[in-house]
Amino acid sequence: MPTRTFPGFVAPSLAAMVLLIALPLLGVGWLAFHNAYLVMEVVEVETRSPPEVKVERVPRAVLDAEGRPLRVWERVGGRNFVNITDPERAWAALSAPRTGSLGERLRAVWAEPIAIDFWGALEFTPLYVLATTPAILLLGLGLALAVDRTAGLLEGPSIFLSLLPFIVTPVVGALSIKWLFLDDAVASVALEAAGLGKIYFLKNALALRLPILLYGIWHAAPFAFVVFHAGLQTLPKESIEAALVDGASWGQRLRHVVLAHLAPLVTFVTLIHVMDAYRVLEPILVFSGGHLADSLQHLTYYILNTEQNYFTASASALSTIAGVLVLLVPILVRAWRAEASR
Amino acid sequence: MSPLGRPPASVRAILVGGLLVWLVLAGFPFLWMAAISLRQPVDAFAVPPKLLAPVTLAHYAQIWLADRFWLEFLNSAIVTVGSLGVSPASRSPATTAGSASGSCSPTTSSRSRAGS
Repeated sequence: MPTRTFPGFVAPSLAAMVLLIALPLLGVGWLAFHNAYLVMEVVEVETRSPPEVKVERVPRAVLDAEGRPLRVWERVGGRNFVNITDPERAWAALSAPRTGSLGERLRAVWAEPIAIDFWGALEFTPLYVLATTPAILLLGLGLALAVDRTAGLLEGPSIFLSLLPFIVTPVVGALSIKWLFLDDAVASVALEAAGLGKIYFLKNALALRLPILLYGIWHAAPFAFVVFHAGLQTLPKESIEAALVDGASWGQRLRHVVLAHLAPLVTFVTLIHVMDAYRVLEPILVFSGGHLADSLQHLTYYILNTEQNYFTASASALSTIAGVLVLLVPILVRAWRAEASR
Repeated sequence: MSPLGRPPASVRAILVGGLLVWLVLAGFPFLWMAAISLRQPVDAFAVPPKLLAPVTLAHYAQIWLADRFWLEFLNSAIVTVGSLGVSPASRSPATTAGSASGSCSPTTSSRSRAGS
């Protein structure tokens, strides 16, 4: 491609990225360090309704020359961040003197900072990311290997059925899982019949996490599967033949030829899934249905809830972005090293 | 045919069994949802769950004819088709440019790609 046509080809998507991603992000960054409020004054209002004269002191917005409420914008530095993370209370909860057994003390040290909304939301988010990521990688790889063994006619339908949880709209998928875990619904009854006792999934915020994690794996595993399945199709025949000639067992071929070939795809799936899992919202909304929303916090849901004050919402949004960067950095560093060593 | 060659019998059993279990898990929630949509409210969430129940299309009639489901359907279609039209149109040139200038210098790559 001639050098001068290159900018022309890249310009549309670059413009879209600046306009739709970079500028809003800068706006959020700016909002996070600012605050605005209406200037209020207390005025005495006299109400005459004979025989009495009532004088009330009521707050009222100060108006500017054009009769609009006077709004003051101020830079507040890190105050919004301090407000949402409440470091003093978190530190007090962590360093408070404890009594009782070690288990009780550990539980208290864990539970009290979690009572602060932001830290509570921060608790489930990494749990969701860290629990679902290895599960979808393993399940996806297993499915790719299994579908690879199915012959001709069965391959198409099993690919279609496997992809279904990924294709269907997350809200619908989450609902279909939730309806299995209602009290006395299919999954609950089956688990009771299996001798696990009666579990009220939707009545207990802790038990509710299990179907949400299962949903997360169920929804994202097909994505890992389809990427690995595509990767298997590009596996060079020669390397497998060479491994066979060398007398490599199936396990050795899997480890040293197939997994080595799929390694970049593992990084890709991990990156995409970590970003996806970090911003997951639908299952939280669907499963909690509102009434457990406070006990089942997730960062995205937390931001949605603080949205009426867009300054603190921006601050939590920025903190959230910082969080996903922290999660992504090890993967990116690893990918970069692998690329550099080539 | 598998590029990996034939796995040992135990692995084959795990792969086939696992795939069957997965296919049931992947399909069942939607089948069950479809079953609920065709049932009377009294059967839909019956305790214990019913495998078979009388079928009705009343709920479909309700949402399509009375609840203006088609309007929401239309909105979703507009958003989908709209973003599908804009996004590839703006991105595919960048992909072409990126892949063309990726490995070789601009002049050689333009020459080597001129024929294709």
